[in-house]
Formats: sequence, C-alpha cells, structure tokens
Amino acid sequence: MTSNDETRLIAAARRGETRAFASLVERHQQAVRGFLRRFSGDWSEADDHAQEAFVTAWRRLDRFEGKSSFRTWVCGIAYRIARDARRARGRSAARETDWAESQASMATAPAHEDRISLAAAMAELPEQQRAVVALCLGEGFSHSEAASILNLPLGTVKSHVTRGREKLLEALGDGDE
Amino acid sequence: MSDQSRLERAFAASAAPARDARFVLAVLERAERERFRRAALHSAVRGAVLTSGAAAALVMLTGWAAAQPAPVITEGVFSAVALLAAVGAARLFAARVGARTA
Repeated sequence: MTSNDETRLIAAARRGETRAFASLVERHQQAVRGFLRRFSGDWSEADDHAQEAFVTAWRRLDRFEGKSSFRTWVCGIAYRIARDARRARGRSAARETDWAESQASMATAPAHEDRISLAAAMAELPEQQRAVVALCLGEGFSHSEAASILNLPLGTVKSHVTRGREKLLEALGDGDE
Repeated sequence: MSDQSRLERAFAASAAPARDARFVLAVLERAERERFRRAALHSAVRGAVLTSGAAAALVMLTGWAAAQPAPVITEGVFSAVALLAAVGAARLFAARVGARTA
C-alpha cells in the first residue's frame, strides 16, 4: 500500500467511513497484535488491547498529524494501553514466569521448547527492553520507529536491542542443556 | 540450526495472522458499542439538564404568578409557555423520528 492510499483511507476514516477504517485495521492488525503478543506473552490479552488501541485510534484520528506512519502511531497507543493495564494490575514478573512455566509442561517439539524459553526470557526483560525487542526483533520495526513508538532516545533503543538479543540468545542456549 | 535462526523461528511462532476478518469485525463492533454508550450518556446528560432547567423555570414562574394581582396576565403567560413547550416537544419528537427513519 502506498502512503497516498493510506492518507486517503485516513481521511475517509476521519469522515466516519467505517469501510476505510476497517481497511486500516485489516492492514495493520498483524503488526500491532504481533507486537503486543510478544510484549505481554498473553495472546488473548494482547488481542484485547489491540482492539482497544484501534478503537482509541479511530476516536482520536483527528489528532493524528502524520508525522509518523499510521502503524507507528497505533503501536504507540497500543503500547501505552498494554503498559498501563499491566501497571494497574500490578502483575509481577514472577507471575509472567509462572505463565511461561505452565506452558513449558506442554512442550514437546524442539521448536516449541524454544518458544517457551523465549517467552520466559522475554518475561524476565525489563519493560522497556521487552517492548523494544518485541518491536525490532519480533515485528521488524526500525530502531527509529521503535524510538518514536516508545518515546525513547534512539541510542537507548539500540542498546536495548543489543542487550535484549544477547539475553534471549543466552536463554535459548541454556534451554539446550 | 544457529541460535539466531532459532530465535527468529521462536519469534515467528507468536506472529499474528496476516488477514483476520474476525478481528476486524470485533474492532468495529467494539467501536460501535463505545459510540452508542457515548451517545446514550450524552443524551442522558442533556435530558437531565433540560429537565432541571424546566423545573427551575416552572418554580420561578409559579412564584411570579402568585405575586400577580390580575389572573388574566398569569393565564396568558401560562398559556404561552404551555404552547411553546408543546411546540418544542413536537419538534424534538419529529427530529428523533426523522433520525431513526433516515
């Protein structure tokens, strides 16, 4: 999709055209849901937050200035919703690890074991680092896009990616033993 | 397989589907529910403001009428107010019916 197409869809959605907004959701749901799934570790919760993010985006579409892409803007909204929900619930890192461990008992294939090890290692990462890793390594966002979404300096994003990758690779390596 | 490839594969396992009509529908339903809830709230607030305003006006009008020596004046004013209220209610009703049938 060209940026012109997207601009037209955004303008139509601003006028209240449901079909245009549905097209925007269709085109960007994969990135937003993928990011939130990796960030939260809980797929149904991630999808719920992704829905909320798109609804919020539609309501606030007048505030979208086009300085970043629509995808980046919605991911920023989604991140804040997911982060605030986690903070409000006061979920501890221990609980997240419990979830990953409960999945581990079902692990059979090596690929599945890697997925479980990755989920556990992601849950151990600090919040910002996990979000950066989910965006850049999981969804292929550029460092500058991640910096814009998370409102972080570019250098911080780069160091989070490097350190996060090291920790995840280490966790996968440990899983072999 | 290298650790990097394993990492990429493990990440790919959490990917969302490229197309998902059910998700899109769920977003639209949720947006519609929220819009309805906001409209209902707005309507309730507007109704409460109008009702309290009308009640206050009625109290003031009754007080004023009690202080008037000539009943012809009060009857005339009350008739005019009743007529205005009837016209306002009819217009409001017509607007709502028009909006529902449009």
